[in-house]
Amino acid sequence: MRPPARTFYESDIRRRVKILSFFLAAWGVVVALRLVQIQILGHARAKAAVLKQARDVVKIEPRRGNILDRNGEILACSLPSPSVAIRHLDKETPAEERDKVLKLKAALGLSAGEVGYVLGRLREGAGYSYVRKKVPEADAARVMGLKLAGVELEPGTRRHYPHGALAAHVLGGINLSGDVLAGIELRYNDWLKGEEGEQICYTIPGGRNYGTQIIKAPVPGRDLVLTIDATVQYIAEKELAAAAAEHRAASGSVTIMDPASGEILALASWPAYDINDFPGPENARMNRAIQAAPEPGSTFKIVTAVAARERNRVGYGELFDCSAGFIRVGGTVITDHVRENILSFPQVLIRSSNVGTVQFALRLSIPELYETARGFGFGRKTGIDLPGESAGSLKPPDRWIKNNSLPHIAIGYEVMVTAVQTLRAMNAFAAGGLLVRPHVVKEPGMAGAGTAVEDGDGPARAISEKTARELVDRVFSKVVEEGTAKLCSLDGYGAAGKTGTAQKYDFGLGAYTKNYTASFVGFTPLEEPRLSMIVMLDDPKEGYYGGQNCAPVFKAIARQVLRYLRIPPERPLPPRVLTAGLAKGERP
Amino acid sequence: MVRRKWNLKDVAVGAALAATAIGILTFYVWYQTESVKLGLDIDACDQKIRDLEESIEALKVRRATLLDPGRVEGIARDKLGLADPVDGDIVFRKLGTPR
Repeated sequence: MRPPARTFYESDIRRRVKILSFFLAAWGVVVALRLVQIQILGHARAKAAVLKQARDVVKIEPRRGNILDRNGEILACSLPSPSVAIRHLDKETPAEERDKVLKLKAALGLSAGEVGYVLGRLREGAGYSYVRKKVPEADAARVMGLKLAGVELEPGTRRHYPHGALAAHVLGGINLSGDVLAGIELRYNDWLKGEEGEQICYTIPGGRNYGTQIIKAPVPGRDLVLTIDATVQYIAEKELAAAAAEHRAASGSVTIMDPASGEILALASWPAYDINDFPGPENARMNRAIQAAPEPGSTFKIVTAVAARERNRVGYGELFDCSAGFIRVGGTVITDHVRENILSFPQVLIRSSNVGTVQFALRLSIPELYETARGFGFGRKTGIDLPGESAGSLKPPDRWIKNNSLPHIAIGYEVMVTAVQTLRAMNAFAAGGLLVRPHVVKEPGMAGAGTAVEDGDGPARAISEKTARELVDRVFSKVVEEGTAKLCSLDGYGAAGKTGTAQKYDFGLGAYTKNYTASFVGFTPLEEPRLSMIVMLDDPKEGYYGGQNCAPVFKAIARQVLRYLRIPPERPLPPRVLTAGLAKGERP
Repeated sequence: MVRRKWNLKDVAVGAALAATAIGILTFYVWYQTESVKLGLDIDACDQKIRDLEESIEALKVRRATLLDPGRVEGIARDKLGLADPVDGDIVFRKLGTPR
């Protein structure tokens, strides 16, 4: 049967459906082709664009370990301090970006330079730029309160030093970029820093995070316990600063050590700086206790005395004629600071006579004096666990000028030593002739702590126990009781030590000047020494003798520290005269 | 035009299948939602722990700042009018000796 004929309308509808179907099919083909173009031909580019917009691989800063003093007091600690960052958003106009940056300027107090930098980065289309690093948490909260698209916080930490300038030269410091440049922070950076982590942050087109995935968890840094005692350090710094001001010195240092273990209880260098503003002014950066190596002057006579006594070249009863006030050696004249008379061997050292010292030093050969000085560790680093230690300078014997170097080195010239080297040498007398390695970290197994050890190439024993004891009893304790260091005599406690005053050499002029380096090195109490200490002042203008300006600092510090450490007096205290009176306006 | 007659049994089976499917789907959505919610709660607790740990650290630093020897000495000398004891003011007593 033949189908009924289509009407005009039926045919028209069919035609229209065909056309519509054709257009729909064509549109589908166009869409499909476009998809092929984007997803297949442009796959790599599209994927990169999507990842750039929606995903960030971000490093997670680990928490840096704390630095504690020997009593657990915090000396350095890291607290959260995020960095403010900004992203360029394609949809934003330059005017909108500028408004956003101006809002940030108001919230963070950005300078004109910082604003210009951020706007420049946004104009370049930079994906991620820091607006300001390590801001306080209050500032960070203020920024997030603005709810600005594309502005985000990057978690981070900032180093805090709650005691400001205390132990600045021991701790070193970290700048805002996180660069570790000095001190313990540098030396033990691997121990303190921990391991960085990594995470993926997923972001919506507005730039806000909607999820994170930690790829690698950060490993926090380990805490570090120092041998430094914050209170002893404070006392040392306070007295050093007072002495430097009183004597108008250019700089100075104080180092206090436990004689038996080599633990440094305090290491002060002046001028100092607030570590929170690291690296501080340029003239304050040097750790003068370990980095400055001037000629020591008379403190080096301890080496000459040991060299002569260990070889029996001089007896305690021998007399030396120092009445001329000078001695001519090797074409040069060596003088005393005051004209002396005939002095015994101990008196030569007690009164610090250069003339007498040269006389018994000339009984030694060059290798003998050199060997003794090396035995004390001069001319090489002590091995203290702080970066930048100077080895000083002790010429090898073949470079000593015949008849000239020996007498000069015997009285502490032509040799450069650091304060810590001199302290370590004097400490040998307090430790029964043994050399200890000074160290500032208490952590076991990290600093070769505690014992009478050397760095491998030197002896553990610098002098015999007998020589050490005799020289302390007959010479160095008398230096304090009746000699050049009378001003450091302590009530109730015995002390031993040696003063030093060295003229400074001007390399520009090629001559010695009227500027001096003054020092005093000693230990206390005498029976069971608990503190060995060196005080050094560079270029003091008011009173330049070590006995005048450094010995009183030793006394002031030792008095307070012995009391703080609760060390009882080893001798009866002198009787006190009690006075009674009435306060103003008071009636009996 | 002939209208198809629905079989009641087929309708019941279909409705049951649809209800099951909807039930499973609802459970799945509920499960996902609850999982995310719990995850968010855990994350919030973790964040709270981190915040508290940070607060403890900040308080430790604050304590160290307040106990700075220089600050303590300044308060003792300037505000309280205290002075260093002289040597005789301190009595050292050996352990075991009577007072």
